[in-house]
Amino acid sequence: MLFFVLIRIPVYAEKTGPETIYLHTDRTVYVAGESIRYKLYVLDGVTQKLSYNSKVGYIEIRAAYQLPAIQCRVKIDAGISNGSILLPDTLTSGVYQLVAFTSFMKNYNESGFFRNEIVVINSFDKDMNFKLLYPDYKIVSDSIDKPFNIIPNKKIYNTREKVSVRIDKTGINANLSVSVFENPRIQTSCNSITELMHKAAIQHLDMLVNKKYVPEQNGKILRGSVLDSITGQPVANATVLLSCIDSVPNLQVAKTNSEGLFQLLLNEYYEGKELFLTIRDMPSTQHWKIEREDEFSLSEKWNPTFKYDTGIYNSFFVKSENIAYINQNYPAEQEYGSPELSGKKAYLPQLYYCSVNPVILSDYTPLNDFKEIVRELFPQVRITKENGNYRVSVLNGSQKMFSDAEIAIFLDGVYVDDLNKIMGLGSEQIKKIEILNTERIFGNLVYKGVISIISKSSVMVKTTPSSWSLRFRNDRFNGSDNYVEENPDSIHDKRTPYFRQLLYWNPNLALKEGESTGFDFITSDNEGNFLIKVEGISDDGRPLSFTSEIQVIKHLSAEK
Amino acid sequence: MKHIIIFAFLLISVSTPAQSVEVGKLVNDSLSLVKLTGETYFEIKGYNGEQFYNKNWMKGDILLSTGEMIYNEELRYNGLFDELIWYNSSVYQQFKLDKPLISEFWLKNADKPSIHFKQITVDSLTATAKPSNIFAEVGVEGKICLYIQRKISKVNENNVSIDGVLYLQETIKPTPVYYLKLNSNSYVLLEKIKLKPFLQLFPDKSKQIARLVRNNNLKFKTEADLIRLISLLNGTDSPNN
Repeated sequence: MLFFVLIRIPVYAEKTGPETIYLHTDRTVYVAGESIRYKLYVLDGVTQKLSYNSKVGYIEIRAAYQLPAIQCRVKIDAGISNGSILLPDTLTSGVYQLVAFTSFMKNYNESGFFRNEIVVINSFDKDMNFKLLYPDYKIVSDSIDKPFNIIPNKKIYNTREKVSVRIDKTGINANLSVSVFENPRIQTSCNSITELMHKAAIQHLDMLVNKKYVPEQNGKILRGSVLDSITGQPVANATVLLSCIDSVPNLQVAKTNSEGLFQLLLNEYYEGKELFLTIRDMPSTQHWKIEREDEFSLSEKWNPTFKYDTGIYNSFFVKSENIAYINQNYPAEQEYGSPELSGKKAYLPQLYYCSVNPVILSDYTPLNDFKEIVRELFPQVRITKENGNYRVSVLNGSQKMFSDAEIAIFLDGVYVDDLNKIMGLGSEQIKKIEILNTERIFGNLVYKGVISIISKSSVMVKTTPSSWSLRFRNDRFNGSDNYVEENPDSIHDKRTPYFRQLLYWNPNLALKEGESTGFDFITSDNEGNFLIKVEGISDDGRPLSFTSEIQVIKHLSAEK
Repeated sequence: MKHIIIFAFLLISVSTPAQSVEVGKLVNDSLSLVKLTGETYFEIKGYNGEQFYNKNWMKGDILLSTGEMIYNEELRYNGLFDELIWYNSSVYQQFKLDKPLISEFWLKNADKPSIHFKQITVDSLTATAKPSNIFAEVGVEGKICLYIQRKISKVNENNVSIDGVLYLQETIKPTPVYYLKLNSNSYVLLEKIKLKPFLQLFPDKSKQIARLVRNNNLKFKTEADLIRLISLLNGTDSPNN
């Protein structure tokens, strides 16, 4: 028994240890309108291996002292995620902070979130009148014990010349990401995964500040609270219902805890949909409201001190602008990636699966409103009005009596929070009605009957939520990477300008034990110093960071 | 005293895991999207005989038609109405589960293998009726499949007097129906466990099957014999020469 207890603890700890995130971006300087390509590593803070815990990650890009410029949710698979984020061309020039975290990391101090800086240049900004955080460029921290080396076949290349980079045979398996980009030599706060893990090892202990965030293992978890809007006090044991517009009634249910908090799982079914939250059996004498937790909300603002002029970097920024301008006219990239569609259809939390005979309103004489429809077509339904409030009851099929208990009414798949919303609907607006007049269950929620109204033109879209309800859009996951390798034919066409600051990006380079690997790319017409940056994590949890630099110089001899 | 101290130590050890996070203090039920749906079940009593395949509630797992699994629910299969009944211990009520939602279910026996039911679509026993979806126990699955509908039928009705009042009481009893799924993916009804009708289903192989029955001393009168023979035909059971 004692043995069991002793071995059980570390296993549990391993499963629920803190997480660490590293975000490898393809570059450090961007022109507004370009995309940031990224590879996200989620690591278990205890084992340092890729974490299988969280499946959702959050990335925020913000300027100092300002509201976030970009917020996106990314799908994490076995601890990794890669994609691209489009930088709107309205962003002003300056230093931006990238913040990445998982919901589970919110249990710990925010200082454990990943943070790094990028510079964004706006092409319309000719003055470049902003300042930088750090004065000098620091060499990227490579892994201390190098299990392998990255070796380019040369150090100096001509323009439009093939570069072959070899990674020697190693004794490890690892998942790597590689970027080759023109090095602006701008210092940032987090230069490599090795550096991050070193900091994390020092910081993580005793940072637990919260216990309410479970890992998002099956999708995003929507969190919120029910509060008394007058006193601001939390409301315990309130039943919160979630539904969205669909051709079938759908529902999710949560009860608030003693602190008035609730949480609901949002799977892929809810992606990009308008969600409706309401409170079941809302007492007419109460003034409750639902507040949704902003999953991106960071308690710490970004208030850095910028001291250093862009001075020596200005020429690099101007060059970046010019290259972006050329590439706008000679585009080689695909448009912003669209979200990946998973093979399996997302589970729809449908209220009922039994067969129901729908009543198609167009089969009958037109009727003016819902009361008239009920009176003429549904003898098993009764509408009454007490103190100005409508009440709908159905004749219970088993007990042969009208039930006074509230029944569930849905309009276009959404739980109706106020019966006044349906009373004015007549045959002109309603397409079909389904009625279930038996006591039913959905999970642990029992209701006396269901009325499902499907309108002809999504009436629910035009409704306004009641004061105790909430309506909001659940944004989609960020799209997949839009990086495409250059077409060699277009590269060899000397009539077409070919300028790149990013020469190569591979977010998933597998390194296998005992095998050598490598990658090839072609230099562009852009001359300069390019950094080959390899980041990754080995299967046994070793952070891997390697850099090498190559130079591209146009040799006149190549013109011959 | 020594034992008490050790026990207390063990309790403390279990409840305070190092570096662990006791997360999810909120109601976690809401984090399970998959829900069972159904209607309140009112048990019709007064039959002479048992209407449930499993008289007592059994723990069971359910594979939903959406592909999701639900585990360890209290289940009973009603053979008289071909319905799966669920006891929801949170609301202390019985519910008849929505049949289109259920693809398969397993009733778990403590010491024996689970009893596996599947929903299959078979031609109705009456020629004019549409094909119907029924729950049937999986007997054998392979090249040839055997599904057993654990049907409970009304076989008789009698007037019984209770406190001087006459009631019509129906007698019910198990009347299993056997469906064979052959290579053609169609279900064939085997009305009784008899060798002759079984051989007629396999006109090309009737001699070999008859020999297999003889060599394996199958009397071919019980369900076990039928299962054994189909297993032999599928090659999942080793024959006696």
